[in-house]
Amino acid sequence: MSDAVFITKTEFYKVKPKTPITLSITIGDAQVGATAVNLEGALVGSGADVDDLPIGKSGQDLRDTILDCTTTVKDVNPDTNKTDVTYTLKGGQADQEFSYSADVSMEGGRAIYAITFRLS
Amino acid sequence: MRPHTLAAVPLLALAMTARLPAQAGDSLPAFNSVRTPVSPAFVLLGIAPTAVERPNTPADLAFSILNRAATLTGLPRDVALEISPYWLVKHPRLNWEQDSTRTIATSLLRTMTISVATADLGTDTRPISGLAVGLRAAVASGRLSREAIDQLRQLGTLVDRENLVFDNLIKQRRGVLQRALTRELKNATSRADTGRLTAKTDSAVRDFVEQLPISEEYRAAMDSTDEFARDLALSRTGFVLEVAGGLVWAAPGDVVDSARVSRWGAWVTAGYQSPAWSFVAVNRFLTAVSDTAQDALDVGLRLIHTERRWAVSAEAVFRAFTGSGAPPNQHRIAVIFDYALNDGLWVTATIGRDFDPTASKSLLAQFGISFGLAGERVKMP
Repeated sequence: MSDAVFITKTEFYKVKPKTPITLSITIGDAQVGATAVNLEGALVGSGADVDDLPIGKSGQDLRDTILDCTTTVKDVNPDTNKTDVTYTLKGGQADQEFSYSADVSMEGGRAIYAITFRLS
Repeated sequence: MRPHTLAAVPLLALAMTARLPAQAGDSLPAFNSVRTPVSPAFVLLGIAPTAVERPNTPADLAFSILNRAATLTGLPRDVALEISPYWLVKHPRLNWEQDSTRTIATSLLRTMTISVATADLGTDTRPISGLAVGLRAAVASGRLSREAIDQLRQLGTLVDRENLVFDNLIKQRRGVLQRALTRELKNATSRADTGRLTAKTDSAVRDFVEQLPISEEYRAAMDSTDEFARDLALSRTGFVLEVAGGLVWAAPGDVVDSARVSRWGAWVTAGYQSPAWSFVAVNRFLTAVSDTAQDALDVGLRLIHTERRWAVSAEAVFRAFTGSGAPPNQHRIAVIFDYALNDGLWVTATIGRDFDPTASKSLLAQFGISFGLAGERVKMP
């Protein structure tokens, strides 16, 4: 599957009963990237700018649901081959950041992050 | 042809020829050879290394040093190392939009490079080891051009498109694996169990995506992104001020006690770039401690006007020899015209006079064709 670098991780995030949360994503190291966000397999948002994306509707109970994020980062920074992605979840029992990093294998390469948040 | 492609021509020339050694001859790229070099250490040592080590992490840097130290019986030969301290570590909060403008402090941090090089400066009968250290940084980096910002946003849209295709490719299998994990976690009795099971699932997802055949749709989306990215020209506009300096130590016979500073140099390059006009002013001082006859102060100015298919620039360089017994001062004037025949193919004409009017080929009247490689990314600095 191409020459991309893959990062896969499953995380746990405690939500409040019947309370939606928000998700923000930062693509670091001055690189360009985009994310697809799926809640229980249904696309709820995508794009290069994911900032305070509402996850769940008002009154929806998110416990025991799965939030899948797929992020592709394209290396455009000539100063580094590093890529960094930070996912920030807010509105649960505590705000929490999840950061990941990977070096692309060549100039202009890709890093693909498949991160799953198990909401509980 | 995209307008930005031609706009990048004069800067591309600057960026490429800035890597030439300063004393590589005063034929055509005289102005560029005076400009702040990317690696001052290489210029002062008079080398143009074909392979430069550029460690990407502190671990890479440590490895480079240890690798050289492993066989260290004297000064390691033919070292060419360039380090960007800021980019040795990750910056998870720095998105490209935040890097579109820089303060003086952030410009210095993000553009600072340290170059180190060694070379044999002597002869077989009289070996002299040379060690050069240089520092370069931009006090002001201008800002990312409007065009570059639009391009990066377009690239983000293309990456989004391919990412959605990829997400669809893995969605089903990922769901199956996560549902299996849900069942397994019900029997987990400890945190260690949970960790082991999630790690197993993560590994299974990774194995799946690594072995997933590339669909035609995904290949087309990636090709589209890559093609666009190859044409990126991340030019910066506004005021740019670069400074650089470096020293060369020469050690006859590899004797440490005999090591002396043999040469040093300093550069300042100031420029302003707008979509149609730009100017670059350069100032260089190079001196040799033992032989001052060729010590020289260069001051130059280049004015560039760029249109969609053509660009014209005028440049002048004044050279003053500052040492005793030095030759008379010199100056060089040239007008350069570039015309784009099509994508990546330019006709170039240069007219003017070189530094020494009594030397052969001092009348500059050159015509040529130059090829631009797609994917050359120009940054200023």
